[in-house]
Order: sequence, then structure tokens, then C-alpha cells
Amino acid sequence: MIIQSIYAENFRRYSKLSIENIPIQGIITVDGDNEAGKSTISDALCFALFGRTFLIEPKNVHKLVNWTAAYCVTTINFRKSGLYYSLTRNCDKSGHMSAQLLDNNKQVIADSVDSVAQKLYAILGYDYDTFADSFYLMQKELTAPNNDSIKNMVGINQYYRLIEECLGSNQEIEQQLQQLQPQLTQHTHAIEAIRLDETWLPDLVESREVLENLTNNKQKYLHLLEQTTRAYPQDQVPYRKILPRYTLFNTLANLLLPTMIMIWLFWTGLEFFPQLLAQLPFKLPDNSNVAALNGGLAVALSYATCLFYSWWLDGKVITPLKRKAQEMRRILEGALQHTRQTDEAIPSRVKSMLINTAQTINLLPKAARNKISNRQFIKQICHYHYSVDEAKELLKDIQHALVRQRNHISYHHGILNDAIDTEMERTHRAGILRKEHTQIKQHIQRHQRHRKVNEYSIKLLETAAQQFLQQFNHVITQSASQMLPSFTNGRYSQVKIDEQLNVSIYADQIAAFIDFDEASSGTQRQVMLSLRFAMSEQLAINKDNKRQFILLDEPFAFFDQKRTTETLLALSEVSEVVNQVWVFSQEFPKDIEVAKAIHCTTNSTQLYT
Amino acid sequence: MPIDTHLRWLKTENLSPVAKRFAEFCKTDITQHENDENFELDVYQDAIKFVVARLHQETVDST
Repeated sequence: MIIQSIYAENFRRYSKLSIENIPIQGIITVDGDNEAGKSTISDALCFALFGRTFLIEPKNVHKLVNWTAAYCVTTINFRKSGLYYSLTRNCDKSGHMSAQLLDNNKQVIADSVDSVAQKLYAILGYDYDTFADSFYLMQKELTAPNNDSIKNMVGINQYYRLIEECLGSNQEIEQQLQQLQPQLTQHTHAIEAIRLDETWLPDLVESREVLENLTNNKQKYLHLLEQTTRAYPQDQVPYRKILPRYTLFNTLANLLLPTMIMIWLFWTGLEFFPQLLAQLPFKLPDNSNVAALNGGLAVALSYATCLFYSWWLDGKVITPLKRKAQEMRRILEGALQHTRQTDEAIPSRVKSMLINTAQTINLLPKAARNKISNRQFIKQICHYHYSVDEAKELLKDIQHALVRQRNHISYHHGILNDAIDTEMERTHRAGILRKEHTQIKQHIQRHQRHRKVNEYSIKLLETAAQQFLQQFNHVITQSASQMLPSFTNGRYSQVKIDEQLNVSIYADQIAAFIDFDEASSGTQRQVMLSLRFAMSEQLAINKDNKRQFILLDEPFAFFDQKRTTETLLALSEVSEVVNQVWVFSQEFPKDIEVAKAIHCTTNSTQLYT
Repeated sequence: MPIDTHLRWLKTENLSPVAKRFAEFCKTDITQHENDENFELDVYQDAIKFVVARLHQETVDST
């Protein structure tokens, strides 16, 4: 950051202050007697940037307003990383402040005190405290930089913020883990208490399916038996009526056929082989061949009639009824098979549960079993041997057997349904518990992982901070050691910052490091000059500042003329980064050449340069 | 395989200066854990991702 111009109005002793054409490099001297307004220039700069000065805190900024005016205005134009900014800050007598930050194109990028502070921090990389501990060396107060400022200079302040964040996060994680662990234990116990057998529900469902199939089959055969019961009387009566007639004509036809053949053979003999018949021991009547012909024709006619009629009865009545009887036989055999169909497909432990819960399935009542186990019954009923009443009675027995079985199955089906409902509810409860258990476990694992990542992050950040601090210390020591001997007349040659961020200096006389506080105030000033300069350079580098200004208020108070001249010349060349050096002093050596000289006088309230 | 090859994914080109400096530190720090039996590489990598992202994001947010 390089200052390009400073304007102020009604600021402390100045009614008007205008410093322009400030060179970007070199020594800028500000001289004048006491009360001439030298420090007011650095105050104006500091107020514009941070809304305060080294001695006046934000709550007392109204004291900066000239006593003859109602308000004061300060404006600075500066450059950072090739970009130009204009910062204006106002304050009235009541201490009310306003601020505005413009960019290169005169566009407002922040227009309130807070937003300007935030934006400025983003641009510069430091706040007032760090500024006061580095680029703003005041005559009146000399202290070692505080820890936060040193962290900022090293560029590790963000590390420590992150470490704090990780520590806080781990505390929260610890609290959450303490809440989750009992929940996990509680869920584990609850799951164990359910004692869920994963195979039990499938067994129950499978058993229910077996019983449903049995019920459906029995229902189907009950329906078929009902049809059979209705159909049997309609078929049995005509069958029993027609069957004797059919048997008669069929038998007649069977008898007439050989008779007819014999007559026709006899006729053939008479007609074609009379000499053979002439050898018979008895004499045949003369018209035997005619009688044989007529008889043969009559028997043939009778045979044809019987054959046709029996064929007609068979086709019209007997065969259809026999077919129906076969169908009935099939139904009866099926029904019988289903009365014997048992619950073998049901898993044994489900069967045990059903037996324990209810009476055993009585698949076949004894009376019905005795009747229907007789195969003769089937044969007889299929030939319509049983009377209608007998057949109805027997079919009714089978139906009753099936109905009883169906009712038993239905009863067990109900028991199974209850068991399935209970098991499903238990399974559902166990499922919910397991899901929650898994979620809690995953939460715990995520938290544990997060905690571990935080721990690694903290370790990494601490190691990095320590390493960068060592590097910073090394650079500071080297840099300050170049200047310190000339500032302290060779009494002190090194400066260092330890791991606890305490500043100590190497006293050549006692050949040891001493705490900064142990040195005299004069020495402290000399040490601070070199230390601040070195630190400021590192801060600028760490904050990506290619060029940086520094304010040194009365830095040579205890220096003689020669040492002041040598130091001034050294300051302009000691750093390539901190190269706009503002030096405030009552007077400067006459022969020294500076980039810009500003002279303040006690008798004027205006300064233009 | 050298342990530092596990951080080949860590590119520093587009990172803010603060995040970049930390990322470069990590590339050297990982070699310290070459023979550490308790070292968990995946956790280490996650920690780097977290810190680098936060350092970078903090800079981006503030500008």
C-alpha cells in the first residue's frame, strides 16, 4: 500500500490540509517545531484508514474535529497491487462517523463505517492493531507487538482462527457423541429384546399359502360334489330304465347273428351243393331252399332291428350317461384324494405352534373315511347302482368331510393370520429399530471421522504455524540484525521471537538474549525501529503487498546527527518492499537528500504541499 | 510409491496466497509421515482439503 495524497478539513489544528504528488519510493520527511502539526498528518492518515489514531480511540474521535468547526473530513488516495482507491471519512462534533471507499473507477465499493472496515481488511490484510504494531511507529508509545499482531505479520492468524474453530467443533462433536452413545446402546438392547427370528415370518406366510391352497381345493370339490348330487338323480333314473332294454336287444342281436349265419350257410348248401346235402340220412322237403331263404331273411331282419335299436340306445342314452359317470368318477376320486390331503407341506414348527394353539386338524372324520375308502363305492356309484337316496347320502358324507376339513383349516388360517400380524408388527418394529440403530451408528462414525479430521487439521495448522514462525523469526533476525547494530551503537545485534511469540534481543555485552521489557526505554526505541521495519517488510510480503509505506514518528530522538543521517540513508535502501518511508522529526540534517520534504509551522492552520 | 505422490491432486495454481502457502507446506509435511504406522492418509488428505478450502474461501469471501 502506497499513499498518493492526503486531504483533511477541520482536522485537529488544520482547517485545510493537502499533501499531493507523494513519491511512491524514498524518504518523506515531515519537520516542524512542537505543536506545528507533524503528528496531525499521521493522525489524519490513521483516522482515514481506521477511524481512530494512536492516542484517540473510536469513542473519542469527536476530539479530532477542529474546535472552530462542526465536523472534519479526511481523504486519502492510495494504491495497492496496481489498483487505486480513494477513502473518505467524516466525523462530527458528536462523534458520529461516516466513511466511503471508492475504487479505481470512482465506484463506491463500501459506504459505511463497518463495510469500509471489512473491505479495507480484505484489501490490506491487516487491521488497526496490526497496523499500529508494524507500519505505525509512534514516538509516544513503544511496546512489543502483541501476539495477534505477530500472528498477522507471520500470516498465520487465520490458522489460529481455524484451530479455534476445529477445537470448538470437536467439543460439539464430543457432546453429540455423548448423546448418541446411550441411544445406540438403548437401540441395541431393544433389538435384542425383540429376539426376532428372520425365518419365522416366511414360514408362517408359506404355511398360510398351503392352507389357502387346501381350502381352495376343498371349496372347488365341494362345488363339484354339489353339482354331482344334483345331476345323479337325473342320470340314474333313465340309466336304470334304459339299461335292461339295451341289454335285451344287445343280447338278442348277439344270438341272432350266429343263427343267421347258420341259416345262410344251410341255404348256400341247398343252392350250390345239393349233392352234399343228398347224402344226409334224412330227406329234405322239396321247398327247403325257399324256406331257408325266407328264414334267413327273417332272422337277418330281426338281427338288424335288434342291432340298430341297441346301437341307438347306446348312442343316445347309455354312452352319454357312462361318460357323465366317468366324469363323476373323476370328481369323486379327486374329492377323495382331497379328503386325504394333509398339511404335510407346512413346516413342522408351524404345525407344532398350531397344535399347541388349537386342536389338531381332523382331515377325515372316521365314518366318512370308512365309506369313501372303499373303492367299490366308486365303482358302484359310477354304474348308477346306488339309489338316488343312497347316493345322496354318500355324497353328503363326503361333502361333510370336506366342509369339516375346510372349517378346521379356516380356523387354523385365522390363527396363522393372527400370528403373521403379530410377527409383521414385531418385524416392522425391529426394522424401525434397526434403521434407527444404523442411522445412529452412521452418525457416530461420521462424527468420529469429523473429529479425527479436525484433529489432523489442528496438528497440521500448528505445525505449519510453528514452521512459518521459525521462518519469520529467521528473516526478522537477519533483517533486524542488519539495522540494529547501527541503531544501538553495536550494543545489540540480534532480535528474535520465540514460540510463545515473545520478543527478545541479543545483548552483545552479556552475550545473551534478554526480554524486550528488560531493555531501557531508549534501547527499546532503537530495537523497535529495526524490529518494526523488519516485521513490516515481512507483513507486507505475507499480505502480498509489493510496495508499502511506513510511518516513523520521531525515530531518532536519542540519535546524534551523524547516526541520524546514516540511518536515514539506510532506511531508503534497506527494503525493496517498505520503500515509502515517512519520517516525522523536529529537524533533519541539512545535507540529506529526500524524496519529499514537508514543513509544518506553528503559525498556520493550513498546509498545502 | 513415495508418500508425497498421494498429494498430486493438491493444485496450488488458483489458490489464494494464504491457502497456497499452506498447501505447499502440506506437500513437504506429508513426507514426515512416511514411516508412521498410525498415520491415516485419507484423514490427512481430508484435513488438507478442509483447511485449504477454508483458507481460500476466507480470502475469497473477504474480497
